[in-house]
Parts: sequence; structure tokens; C-alpha cells
Amino acid sequence: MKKFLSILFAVLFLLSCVLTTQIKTSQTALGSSQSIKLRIAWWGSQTRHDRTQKVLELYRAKVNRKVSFVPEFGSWSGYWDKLTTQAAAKNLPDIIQMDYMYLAQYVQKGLLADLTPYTKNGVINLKDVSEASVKSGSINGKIYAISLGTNSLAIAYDPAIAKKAGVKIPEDGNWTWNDYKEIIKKVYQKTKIRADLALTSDPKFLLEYYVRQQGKSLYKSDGTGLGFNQEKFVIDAFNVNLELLKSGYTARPDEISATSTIEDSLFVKGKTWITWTWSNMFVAMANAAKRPLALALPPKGGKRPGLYLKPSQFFSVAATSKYKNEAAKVINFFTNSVEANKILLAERGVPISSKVREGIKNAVEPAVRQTFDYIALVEKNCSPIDPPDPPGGTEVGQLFKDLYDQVLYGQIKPEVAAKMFIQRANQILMRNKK
Amino acid sequence: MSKITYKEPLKSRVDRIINSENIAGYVFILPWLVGFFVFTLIPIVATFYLSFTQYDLLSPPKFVGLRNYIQMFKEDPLFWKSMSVTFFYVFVTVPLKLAFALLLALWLSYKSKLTPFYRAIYYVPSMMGGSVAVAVLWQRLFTSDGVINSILKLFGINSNISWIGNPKTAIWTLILLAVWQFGSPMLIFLAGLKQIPESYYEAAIIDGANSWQKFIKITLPMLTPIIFFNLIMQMIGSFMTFTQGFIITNGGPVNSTLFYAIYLYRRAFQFYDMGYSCAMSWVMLIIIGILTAFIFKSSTFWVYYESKEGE
Repeated sequence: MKKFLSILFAVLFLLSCVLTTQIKTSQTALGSSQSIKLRIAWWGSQTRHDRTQKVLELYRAKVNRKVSFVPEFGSWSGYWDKLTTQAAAKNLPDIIQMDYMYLAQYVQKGLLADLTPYTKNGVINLKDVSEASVKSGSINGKIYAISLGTNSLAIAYDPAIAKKAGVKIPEDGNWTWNDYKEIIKKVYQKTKIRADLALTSDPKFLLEYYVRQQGKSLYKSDGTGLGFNQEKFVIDAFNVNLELLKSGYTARPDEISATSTIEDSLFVKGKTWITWTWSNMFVAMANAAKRPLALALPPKGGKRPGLYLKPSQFFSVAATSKYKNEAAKVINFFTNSVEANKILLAERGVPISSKVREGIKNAVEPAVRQTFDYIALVEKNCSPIDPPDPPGGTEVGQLFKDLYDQVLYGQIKPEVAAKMFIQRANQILMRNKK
Repeated sequence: MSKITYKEPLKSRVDRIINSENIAGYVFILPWLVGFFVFTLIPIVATFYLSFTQYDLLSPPKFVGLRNYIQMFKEDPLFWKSMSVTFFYVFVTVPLKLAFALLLALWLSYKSKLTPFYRAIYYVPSMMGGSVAVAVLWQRLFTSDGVINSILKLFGINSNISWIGNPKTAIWTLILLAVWQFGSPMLIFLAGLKQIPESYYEAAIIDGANSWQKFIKITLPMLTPIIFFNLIMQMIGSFMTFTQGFIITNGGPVNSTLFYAIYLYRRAFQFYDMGYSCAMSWVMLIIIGILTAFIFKSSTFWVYYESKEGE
């Protein structure tokens, strides 16, 4: 009898497990006939999570009561791992925050929906959006992603210290690489405050900027190799930092590599006075530093402006989504609603719609307004953005970081590193040849 | 239930099944069995197949034969780098950790009122184990303006080294972290020490042995089965170290802490090279297998079992 009871309980337990899951699924099946559940995924800081969820609530209240949202958010580092796994399981969220770096790969694998029809029939209104912003989310003439904000490479500095040292930084970018080095030297000699190493960890920063100034691009347009073969470019980019570092004018790489958050960075703590950044990080920097900071265009040189307007991130719709039209409506809300953007306050970058920019200009904090002005300055001093990174781009990035680290730590010469970078990077990218 | 018992011819059969000895057991371990098959056995088999494919997670795997393995051994300097970092780490960490655990176990085996308290205190670090919070704490301790440098300053040593940012010292901060988490081998040693009969020591005292002799001639030989167990467990664990290196240094600076598991993870989820990383995990499995077998084989020469001796 005892044995029988124990079996009975075990079976009942298993049955109840099965039943509860079934009840749940039948509920959702029932619910979907009346309302729509949209899954939406993004990465970012706590501020972004809070503001985005408020906008989604607003959407429900103002636009469509029938839509309910299932948000999936986290930080950048875990986001892509999760998304890849979801993609492999054909279980992508309906609306996906997308990055320029991954856009080409996702499109190539057929994971994203073509949004062109929705922009044509007016579900997504792009009337007040610049051609460049629309193009940044297009591949082969089809729109796969709508930019959420504009972004650009920038130099951030502490104006108080520059003033103390008696130097003036031309914020419109009318300075050369030599001026850049001279100013850093002068400030150090007068104040003993050092500069940050210019963004080292990714070829998308300093190297790409330099290469673009020479009229080339980082990658070939078909993605089967680097867009240049001059070792000199890499050496020059390395040397911008290396010379300053050797003379002690910049922070050391071991100090920098030990910091991971904006709040921790040497620049925010006031240990360095000038740094490279993305313009949409500037607000977080200024908030953490609690002192006035300024933005300036990076040094000019070469054949053309190296700067470009980069979409800070996009919204895309999954190809597998059942509610593409509804998803497109939500994206339109983020793009064009002034009310929504009064909640977002350009946290994702400068809004792409000129009407929205005008509409929220007085609502934003001073640091955000600084980035608005900066982006306006970049618009006059930039060249078109290159195509999204080819598959293998992340691996090339890691390779670059490894070699650059070795150079900065004094383990190998820039000439050797440059040679290895070009050779290995081309090897990695060759795999894209079909 | 009632449905089944309606039918007469079935009844006896059902009764037989329900009343059989094994069926209750199977039903109860079913959740575990499902977990084992779904999350362990099937993935292992899948990994083996995937290691012969090119698989970027987003499109279906393509069979490429031994290419991943060949690429790994012939063309990938980072594979070898991560291998050497991991081996160095394991061969330094495991002996240090075990020695430290044994030392503290010996100390804590003396009876005093505070002993239970100390045992708990010393076990805490290993409970927090590979947690993210500890890793972040460690990162803070060893930066250029971290606590360690402040302490050194108290002793008049002016250091502004960033311990975790320096390629020469970074791996040592991770080794230190691992050794600090000596709690679980320590507890096992403690249990082992309790097993040694008091009479052995009494006999030794009568023979005039000092405490060093007692340790070398009695404690250590009697503990060899425990050492053997701890050695294997710690070695396997150390080979698979991931969290600390991933959070504190992320393989850097200059790949000086690029553990095998970190590189494997990078390949799979950052470079979308799942096939390659499956191949890597099989190589690691084989290496751990060989080393474990080696330790097992060698154990006949140095592990002492009381029961065997008695036969």
C-alpha cells in the first residue's frame, strides 16, 4: 500500500506539472485572439531600461491598448550571446535593438524583416529624417533597421584644466595631429595632469578614423579583406598614443585596463583631462564627473574628414515575427513621437527626426544639449559612413586589441604589430569569400 | 488513474508494474534523468558532432571534417597561448591551494572554543566561490589606486602598479584568488584528520616522536586518500576556470590571463565559431581525461589505504 501511495504521489506530481504548463499555454493561445503580445529586446543602462519601459506604457495608453509588451533587457555584454542563441532557436523577439556592428550578419542570415514596405505605406514615417540616417540602416537598398539616435566619435575634455594650462582647443576641429600632441604635452608640463590613451581597444576608433582620413575604409565593401594595405596607417595610429605614452604624458595601459565602467574611468575621476569617446556616452560621463566638460572634434588631417554620423543603435523587426505591422508601429512611435522622446531625452543618442529634436530641445539637460550641438558640428565635418562590419569583424577587433596591447606594453614594435595585423586580419576576412 | 483500473485484463498487468520494486525509483529520479539527458548527455553528443562542422549559430552547421582540429593545432597561436596560461595556472594553483588547505585544516583540528567559528570563517570565501561579486571586489583591490597599494604604502612601499593591469602580475592575482578559496578542500581534510585513530599518535609519543615526525610518518600517509581525492577535484575545477578571469581581467592584459575556457567562450559567442569551440572543448576533455587517468595510475605508488593493508 505504501509503495502504491508513493507511486500515486509521484504520478500526480508529474501530472500537475504537465497540466499547469498546458493551462498556461492555452491561456496565451486564448489571449492572443484578443490582444497582441510583442516581445521587445534592448541593451543599456538602468536609465535606459526605466525610460524605455515608460515609453512602452505610454504607447499602450495613447496608441493601442490591445498591445502588451514583454520586455527583455540587459547589458551589452550578455545581450548578444542571448540574442544569438535565440536566433539559433528561431525564437527572436519581435522588436530587436540592433547595432551597426551586427546588422550585416543578421541581414545576411535572413533574420531581419525588410521594413521598406512599412516606410512606403507610412506606418513608419521618415519624412523628417535625413537621408544619411535612413541609409545607415539599409543594406542593398532595403531598410532593415531604423536608427534610434545619431552618434559620433568625439573628444571630451575638461575646459577648466585647459584654461589653467593656457591652451585652447579648437572645438570645430581645426587642429592637426601635431597640435593634438603639443597641447597634451603643454598641459602636462603646466599642470602635471595626463591625457587618456586615445581609444585603443577597437580598430573602429582611432585606426578607422585615421584610415578614413586617408580616403580609405577599414574593410573592403564586400568584406573579404581590409580596405587598405598600407602598414604605415596602422603604425601612425599606434604612434599617436605610443609617443605620448613614452614621454609620460598619458595614463598607462595597465591603469586603464583595470577600469571597466564610465564611473570608474580615469577621466571621470579627474586623473586625466582629455579623452576620446562616443558622443552618446558624453551625458553619462558628465553626470558621473559632476564638473563641466566640453566636446571637440578630433584633429583633422589627410584627404577628407574621418568622422561620420553613426546610428547609435537601431530597432529591427525579426523575420520570424508574427506581428510585423504592429512592431513597425511601435518603432514609428519611438522615432516620431515628441511625447515619447520627452521621456527618452536622447538617452539613445540624438533623435533622427528633426521635428523631435526641435520638440525636446528645451526639455533636455545641458550635457544633452552639448551633444546636440556637437552632432550639428559633425554634420558639417563628416564623410559618409562605411558599410556595416563584415562577419569576422569581432575577431579582427580582438586581434587588433591584442596587438595594440602588446605595442603599448612595450612587448613588440609598432612596425611588427602593423605587419601582423594586416596579414592576420586579411586571413580572417578571406573566409567571407564564397 | 481510475480510467486505467476500469479494464479488467489490464488491471493485473498495471498492478504488477506499479508494485514492482524499480518503478517507484525510476519515477522519482525521472526529473533528474530528464535533466541529465537534456542538459548533459545530448549536448555532449551534439558537441562531438558539431566539432566537425563550421557552425556560426545562425545558419545550419556545415560538415568540414577535421578542419577545426587542424586549424587549432597548426594555425592558432591563441589556442596555444590559452593552453599554456591554463596549464601554468593549474600547476601553480592546485599545489598551493592544497598545501594551504592542509595547513589550516591541521591548525583547526586542535580543539578550542573558537574552532567552530574559525572553521565557518575560513569556509566563507569558497562558498562565495566563483561569484561575480568577489571577482569585482578583487578587481577593486588590485587596481593602481586599490587597497593593496594603500596597504603597501603603510609599510613604506610606494607602488602605483596596477596589479591586474600588468601582464606580469595579473595571473598571480587570479592565482591568489583561487588559493584564498581553499574552504572546500580544507573541510575534506578536516574530516580526514578526524579519521586518523588517536592511538597511533599515542604510540608515537611513547616512542618519543616529535610533532614533525608525527606529521610526516602518521598524518600525511593516513591522509593520502584524501589528498588524492582533493587533487583530482581541484585539478579538474582549475582547468575549467572561467568566471574570475572573465570578469576581473577578461583574458587581458596582453592575453596573460587568457584561460582556455575564456578563449573557448570567445570563439563560440563573440566570433560565432561554435564548431571550433566545440572542438576545443573536446580537446580539453581529452586532456583532463589523460591527466586524471595518470593520477589514478600513479596513486598505487603513493596512496595508502588502511583496508588493503589489513587483508
